Amino acid sequence: MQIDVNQLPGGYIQLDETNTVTSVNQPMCDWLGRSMDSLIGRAPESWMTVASRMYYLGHVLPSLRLHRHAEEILLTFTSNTGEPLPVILNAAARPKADGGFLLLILPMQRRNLVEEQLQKARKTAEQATIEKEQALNEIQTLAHELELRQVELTTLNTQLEQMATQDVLTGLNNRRVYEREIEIQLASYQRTHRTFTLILTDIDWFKHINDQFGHDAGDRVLKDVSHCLQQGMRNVDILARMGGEEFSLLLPSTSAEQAILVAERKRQDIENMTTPYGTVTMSFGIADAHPGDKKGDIYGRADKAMYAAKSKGRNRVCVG
Amino acid sequence: MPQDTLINRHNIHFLGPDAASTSRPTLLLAHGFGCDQQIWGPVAQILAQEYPLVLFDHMGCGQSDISAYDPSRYTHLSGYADDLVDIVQGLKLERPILVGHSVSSAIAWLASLKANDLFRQIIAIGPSPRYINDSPGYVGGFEEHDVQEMIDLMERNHFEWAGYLAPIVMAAGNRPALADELRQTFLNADPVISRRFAQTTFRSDIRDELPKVTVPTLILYCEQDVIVPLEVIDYLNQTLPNCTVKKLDATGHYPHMSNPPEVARAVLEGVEHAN
Repeated sequence: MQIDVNQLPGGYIQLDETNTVTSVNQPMCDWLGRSMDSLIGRAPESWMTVASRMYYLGHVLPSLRLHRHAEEILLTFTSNTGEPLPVILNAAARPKADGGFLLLILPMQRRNLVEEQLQKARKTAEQATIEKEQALNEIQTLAHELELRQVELTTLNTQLEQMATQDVLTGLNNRRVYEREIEIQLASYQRTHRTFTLILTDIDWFKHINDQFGHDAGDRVLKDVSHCLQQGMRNVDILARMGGEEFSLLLPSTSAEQAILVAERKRQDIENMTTPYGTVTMSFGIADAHPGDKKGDIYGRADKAMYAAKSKGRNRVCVG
Repeated sequence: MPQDTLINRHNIHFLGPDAASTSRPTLLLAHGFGCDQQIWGPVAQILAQEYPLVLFDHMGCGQSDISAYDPSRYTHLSGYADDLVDIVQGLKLERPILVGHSVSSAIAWLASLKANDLFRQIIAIGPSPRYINDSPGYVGGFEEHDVQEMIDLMERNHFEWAGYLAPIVMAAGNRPALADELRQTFLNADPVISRRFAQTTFRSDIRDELPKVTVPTLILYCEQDVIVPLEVIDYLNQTLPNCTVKKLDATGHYPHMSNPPEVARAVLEGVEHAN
């Protein structure tokens, strides 16, 4: 018994080898809203959405020609009113003698909706995963950057600390360090009563060196003197340039008597130093810590002692 | 790369007379997007009667060795062009004539810029330098959203989530054989790669390269080609420095399938012998 294709509960299209419609059944015509005559002689992709047309020509037709069949293909036709008609399509080549292909088409509006939503959900999930990975990468990059910045900051801090505590010309501690250290020594002295000594020393006739030989010569002498004063110092001793040609020496756990020996040795070292500008001498003033001293007190005594040394003819050590 | 590796990688086949036995140039046939070298079958049969032929599958298509597929290499047509250079040089083909369908023509133009004197001639069937319309005034035939929709359609038709599905079916336990078979089908299709090829193809734009292409090009085109509108052929004709254009007595984007004798005739007629 021959079945009437017009009674099939599905669409049916017959194509020749060149992909031209040679026959189509009534349900397909009804879905497309077009007359049978207008469909025959055309290519089936003429009534598809652009994307489906690309896919049909780019994938379905080549695969049909190569493999002689194609199954479960989702495509979207368009009706004469522009309504999309999502379908599922199976296709097979006819026997060689007849040539061409047979297409069976079932509309799938509801299934299509579900699948579309599934696809969308999957894309959203994929997108979320990608974004999460990106965010993670970003955090890692930022963390790495932060680490670099911290290293940079530490380096800068060290440099800054050096700039803040170092005398540029001589490389010695500057007055800030003296101020800090004398406070520490005083605090420790109040607590432990272990004495300490401050020596202040000043280059004699420094102004003359500057005037006679120029400022470069003065700088050179300051450097040489600094170098000389530094020799033989204990780790705990603090040598600082106070400004101009004045230096300070803080000697922890040292009595005035011991400090005199230190100062006397330094005085001789300086005097014996050879410089291009003749003999250089220094005057020394010594003060040891007294109970209740503020930093100004001990400094005042040492300063006074140094001026006593100056007024007694310079190049000598006096105790305040 | 050793020749064996190259031949295996691109599933290379030789047809027709031995290149050494004839003064005729070798024809290298390059298939387009969505298929493989089998698409040339009927045309190749005719051409092989007179010319040495080399057929191959682009990486990720047909029987190519997808273990050599590198996603980053193939996000641009340039990667496919590098392959073409490898094939010509690796097989020591003597200035072959490249017959390229669709995107393979664009790949061939790019390849001709990578190596001097690579091809004697390019015969381009239904080529396009850019598929997406562009202002001002460039008609590629498609809008961006058309391409996106097609990519979505491919995703759904090629069961990209099959990787998840097949084991679930397996786990159900009753019909493991079916699951295996399903998975095999999915694997053969290699959906991710073909979708990437589609993306690379339909988002390509080599218009800026065209004026530099000096290799003689013969463009064969059809009417009613819904992938490549006539405006694109006009554009190529005006932009390629050394180009002739010929209309085929066939319709659609696949004349080598819809009318193989006509394509073979046009190729034989257009082949250049002079050096």
